[in-house]
Amino acid sequence: MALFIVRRLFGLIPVLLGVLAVAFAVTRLTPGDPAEIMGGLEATPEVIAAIRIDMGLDRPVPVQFLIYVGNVLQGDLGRSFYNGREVLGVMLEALPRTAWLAAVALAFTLGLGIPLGIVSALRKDSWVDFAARSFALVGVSAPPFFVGLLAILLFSSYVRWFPSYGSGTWRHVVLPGLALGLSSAGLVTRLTRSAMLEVLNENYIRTARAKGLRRRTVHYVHAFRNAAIPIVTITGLQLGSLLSGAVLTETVFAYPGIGRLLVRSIFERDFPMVQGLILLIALIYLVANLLTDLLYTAIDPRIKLR
Amino acid sequence: MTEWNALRTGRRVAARVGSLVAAAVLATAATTLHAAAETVLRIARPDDVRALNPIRQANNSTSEVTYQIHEGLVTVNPEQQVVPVLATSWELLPDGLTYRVKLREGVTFHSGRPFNAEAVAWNMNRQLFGTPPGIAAGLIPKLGAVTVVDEFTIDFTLVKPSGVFMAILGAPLFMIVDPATMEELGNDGYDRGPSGTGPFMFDSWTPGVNVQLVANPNYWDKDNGPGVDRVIFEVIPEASARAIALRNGEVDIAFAVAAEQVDSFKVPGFTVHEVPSTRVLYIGLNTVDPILRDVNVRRALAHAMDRELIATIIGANGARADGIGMPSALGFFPSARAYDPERAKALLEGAGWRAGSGGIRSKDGVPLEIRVQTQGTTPGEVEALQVVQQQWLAVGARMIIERVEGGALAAGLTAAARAHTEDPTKIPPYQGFVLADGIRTGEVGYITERPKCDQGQRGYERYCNPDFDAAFDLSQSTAPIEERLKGYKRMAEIFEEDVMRLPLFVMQLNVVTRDTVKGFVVNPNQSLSLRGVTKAD
Repeated sequence: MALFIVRRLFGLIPVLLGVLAVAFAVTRLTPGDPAEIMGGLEATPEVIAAIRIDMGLDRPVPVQFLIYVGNVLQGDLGRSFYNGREVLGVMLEALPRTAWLAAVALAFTLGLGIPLGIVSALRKDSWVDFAARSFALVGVSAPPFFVGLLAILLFSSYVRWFPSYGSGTWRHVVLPGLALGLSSAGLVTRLTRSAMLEVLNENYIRTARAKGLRRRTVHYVHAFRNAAIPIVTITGLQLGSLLSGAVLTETVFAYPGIGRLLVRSIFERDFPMVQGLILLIALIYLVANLLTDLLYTAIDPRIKLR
Repeated sequence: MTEWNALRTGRRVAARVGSLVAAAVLATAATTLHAAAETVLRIARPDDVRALNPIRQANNSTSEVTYQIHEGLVTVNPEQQVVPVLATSWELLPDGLTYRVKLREGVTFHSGRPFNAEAVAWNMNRQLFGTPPGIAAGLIPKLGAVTVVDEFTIDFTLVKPSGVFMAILGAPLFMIVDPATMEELGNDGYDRGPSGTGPFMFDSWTPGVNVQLVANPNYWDKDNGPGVDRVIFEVIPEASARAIALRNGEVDIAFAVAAEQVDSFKVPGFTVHEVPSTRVLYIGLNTVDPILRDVNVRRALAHAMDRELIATIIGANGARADGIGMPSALGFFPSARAYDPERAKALLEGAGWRAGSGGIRSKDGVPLEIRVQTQGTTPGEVEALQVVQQQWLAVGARMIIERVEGGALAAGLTAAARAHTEDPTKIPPYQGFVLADGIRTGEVGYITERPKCDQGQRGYERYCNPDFDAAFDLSQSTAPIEERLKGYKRMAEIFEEDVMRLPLFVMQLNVVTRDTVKGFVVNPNQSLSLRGVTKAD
């Protein structure tokens, strides 16, 4: 196991270098001059040229890339073109907020999705199943920003339980977490239901029942454990997606996370910030995949990691 | 004995816990009382500041905040007049090049250091010769010398005479920072502790969340100083979320309220400020394009536009544009052609554009199609273009709207204009483009500069007319105001004759305040002053 983890971690290096090269190339290929954007239309060509030199954009692109890679290897992701702040510092400010939001969203996703999916499968074709499937359909169909606006109207405007915008306290994260989690919960409900239905028809479940095991043991120990593999897969992907920022939800709730930072940086041609964020998002996905693989072995001992 | 000791120890612990609890309760009560006593003004805006260093950044969302911390020598008030702030008076010396500016005495920076002529000279040098130069460097006319005459008098000697020098300093671009603080903290570190002379002092900045300022107790203007204890500029990007926060009472002022939501605030408890800004959205025309180089085609396109209908369609997003600029700005004269589709048709006929299939005119097999590049991000912009598209179609011209991302639009126009400047045979491939120009100096001069011959890569219209340049130079000269206005009038006439730009609409500022907020005024040039703004309980 330890060897597997070390090998996978080493395997991240070429992937991240590749991501770095692609991110650098894509930002340079995008039309638009950051110096022009920073200086504005009022700035004279001389001022623009001076800003360009200050940003290091006057050097040939390959030289810019080599300097950038050298700096990244030393832990320096550069400075934002937008406001001159350290990229790493800005990312480290936004990441905990997004992680906090992702944790709450994931709690809603798993806390709602798995129980509903299990109950739905166990009570197939009953009104409970119908209600759970309806919930799942609504969850999957309603975009998070729309759910977010409804949640603001209901919980911020009418009953006034939670603030409608901002960050900083646990109350700020409930509504965006709910909005994000609801959509994923619908997906997990459907997935859990179908996986459980498939497993419940397996011979070993029949055998377990024939042995006289308690219903609860059959359902939650034997059936659910075997149905969990696809749920873990989708949860791993959802985790990556949630941690890399939910642009629309963060915008609706004025939540200053990774998603909003990325969109703003793209519009402002803030190359160092975009590159840093792409690197971070790639890292998040790679680590989430690694964790998913590790979880597989915990759930199903037949799976061997090599 | 042991039990007794234990009891005593227990009592001591209980007493300590009790006193701690009491202290905590008292502290909480004190904090609550303090919080209750503090007047907090919360302002919701779509964007954050870029930096708190006004030498580095001065876009609108930034200067709205930095202008509460820092001040300029002069400012442009909501009536678009240049009025003194840190300067008390100024005069143009007989050499016609030197402005002698008297500075306000007894003013201190938030750091406690005195404001004086040395500080102003340091700021001007930093703006013009810093690395990189300051954001105002491109606007300020070339200076030959900056001379400190005495502690509160400074001379600015220009290379060429300029009648608008002080007006340019009134734009919220040239703000005075505390030189010692800037030297101490550096260009980047200054964001952690900006120090100016303004009515509010920096307290905190959480990027993407808010900027908090507190009242400056030593502000020099006792009659028009801070009226609240704390101002919080909240970043709420989404218009609906800003409106909800305002309705919930979570904020006191909401900027950039969506046009479709403005009417819903016209109820007791709120005040709606619908103020036409000093920014005009226009379609710029490439005057060397094979189709548009014919002035009659440009005139026809202008006559085909019903700007009244555009204003009606876009509602609270904007107001009718009658020319380049707005009527309250010095030097504004109407220059837009009257809506007259019959005249448009006659002009096109006269220019050889004959009606063809599908109602689109053509000449020598070339259809009358004008591609107009636009970002489409300004509220009302796309709707306005669609109206014009129909109106042009009615006279036989087809507008093809091309949505282009903002950075790509500016880069494309600049590159093509630069290539044409260097080699006049390289005709820029663009035809029409939508841009906005705004006045921040109280005079229209600044936005009428672009069609001049010497604008190089910035002259997107590729227009050059020595008569226009002469009129512009007169408008910016040190001649008496009556003479300067003649220059402005002549420029407006040329705009009307040669039609380099087609005004679409004047962009409107929609701000809603709760009725508890008093003294709040929206400046059309988007510079924000919170001096004298109060909030009732």
